Amino acid sequence: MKRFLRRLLALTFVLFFVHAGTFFMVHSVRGGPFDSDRQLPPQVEKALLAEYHLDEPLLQQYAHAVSGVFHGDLGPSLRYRGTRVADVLAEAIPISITLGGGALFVALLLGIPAGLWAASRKNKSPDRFVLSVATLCMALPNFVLAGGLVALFSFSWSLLPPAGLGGFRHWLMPCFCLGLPFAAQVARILRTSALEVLETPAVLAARARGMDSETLLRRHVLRSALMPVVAFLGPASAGLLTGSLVIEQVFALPGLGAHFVQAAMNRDYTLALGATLLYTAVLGLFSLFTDFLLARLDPRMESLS
Amino acid sequence: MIRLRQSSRWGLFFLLLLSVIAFLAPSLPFEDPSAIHLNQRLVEPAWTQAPFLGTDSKGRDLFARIFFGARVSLATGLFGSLLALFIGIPWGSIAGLLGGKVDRVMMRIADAMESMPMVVLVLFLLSILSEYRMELDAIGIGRMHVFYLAIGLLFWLPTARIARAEALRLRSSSFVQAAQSVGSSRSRILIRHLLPNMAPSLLVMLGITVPRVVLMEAFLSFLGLGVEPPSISWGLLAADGLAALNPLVGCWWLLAFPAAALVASLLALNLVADGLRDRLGK
Repeated sequence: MKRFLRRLLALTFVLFFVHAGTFFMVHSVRGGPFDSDRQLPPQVEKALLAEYHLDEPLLQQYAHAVSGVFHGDLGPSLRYRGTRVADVLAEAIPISITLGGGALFVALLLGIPAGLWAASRKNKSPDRFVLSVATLCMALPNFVLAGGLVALFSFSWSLLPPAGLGGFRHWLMPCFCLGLPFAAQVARILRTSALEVLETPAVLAARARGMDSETLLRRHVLRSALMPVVAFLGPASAGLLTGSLVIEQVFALPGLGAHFVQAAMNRDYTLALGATLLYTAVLGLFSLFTDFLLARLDPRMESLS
Repeated sequence: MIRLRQSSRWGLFFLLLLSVIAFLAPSLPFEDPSAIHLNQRLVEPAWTQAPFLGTDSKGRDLFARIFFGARVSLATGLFGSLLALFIGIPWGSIAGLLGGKVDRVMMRIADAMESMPMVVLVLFLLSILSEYRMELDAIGIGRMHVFYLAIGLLFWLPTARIARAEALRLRSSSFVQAAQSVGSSRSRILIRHLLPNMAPSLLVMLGITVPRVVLMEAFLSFLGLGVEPPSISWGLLAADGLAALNPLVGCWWLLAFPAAALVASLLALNLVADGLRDRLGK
């Protein structure tokens, strides 16, 4: 328990650091966000700068921003006039979480059976098949996959909607495209760890007792072979994040990634900063959660560090 | 010479062939990849004659564009990964060699960086640096250099960890202790004893990093924050192809061929990496 408190503290430090780093990076950029398109009358510009507190000394602005973060207020968006960053993010979060969760579900749903199947038929054709498909899937950038699927399922066969928000059918392709590379990795990781477990005396003993191999795989092998897969979820979440930047763009989903990319391109720095902060927090909490899960699954992990 | 398994050898052969063609592309009889022919827009692949793989929305020859795109994509993969090694190796091996407090601080920094969404931060950095493009150009730092640096920042952490683990392992070996006992300096031990012995695992690391970097280049270019239009890369071509995809005009070749080039190369790179890993351990 103490360890998790310490990790939580470390996460707070990282958040603080990321916030400070991005804040000063943003504010040291030459030129304000309002002087790009056309020359504003001096009074208007002054009023705008005052409205966004951009005329104060930098340290005062920073203090303002930090106290804002503590109050759950990330300031106004510089591009979407009259909206708060926190509101934009609050609307985007459920979309990104649905996408990420769906992708993770796809990854586990496809990856676990495939990995187990491959391990149980080592060096036979199912194993080779799973390994080759996995290698191919890992080489498939998900925007390419997305393009191909949209061309087939939306344009040629008109089965699924090509983009946008909506019901369950709208989520199928985005989640599949985002999840597939991770399914491939899950399959490979699970295959390796299941092969190790299959060689332990426990499995031999179970076989000797006459347990049929299906029960053996499901009950005993899978349970102990899942550990590396759970450990992989931490790094996978970072990868899902990268992928979601692209997938949200392709499928026009107004999630966190799409907002972040737009904000970075539009120089909407408050929104970009808020999204970065949120990403850091989510990643940190997720990796904390996986560690917690690992410790619960295998008590030896607790004493390791 | 390292003997690789069959699939890795095919991958290596494919990559070498592609690299040679890409390297020599300007002096080979390709069409001009940037020449615009407005009377030949969106021509379908002719397979056996002039626009082999068709043309894009400005009438440019896709076949030539793919091979010229290979130049940028492969160069990014190589230079980006080398830069990642260039940051990661000194970081990790110095931490491992010195140990103690230095090691702890350096690895804490690495831990902290690992827990940050690096992609997001690098995108941020790229968008901010693009404001200073004129100044950077003036001191001879082009957009591609910034891009390589960003890639290096994204991928140095795993290399640093491997280098540290190797340094820790080698530090207690008898030949390093022998060198220490005859009074070799730390930098000499690092350069003469540690680095050569790390070479195999670092080669494996390079093999794993290159495909990731190529993929990342495609990602960033696709988002509009990587390679920019007058240059050609596979990520850009695929993005163009995706944009040209609509239910009315089925310009499938604009997406299919750049994607095929990208997937084939990534597959080959992954096969080589797998082979190296099997052969050299890790």
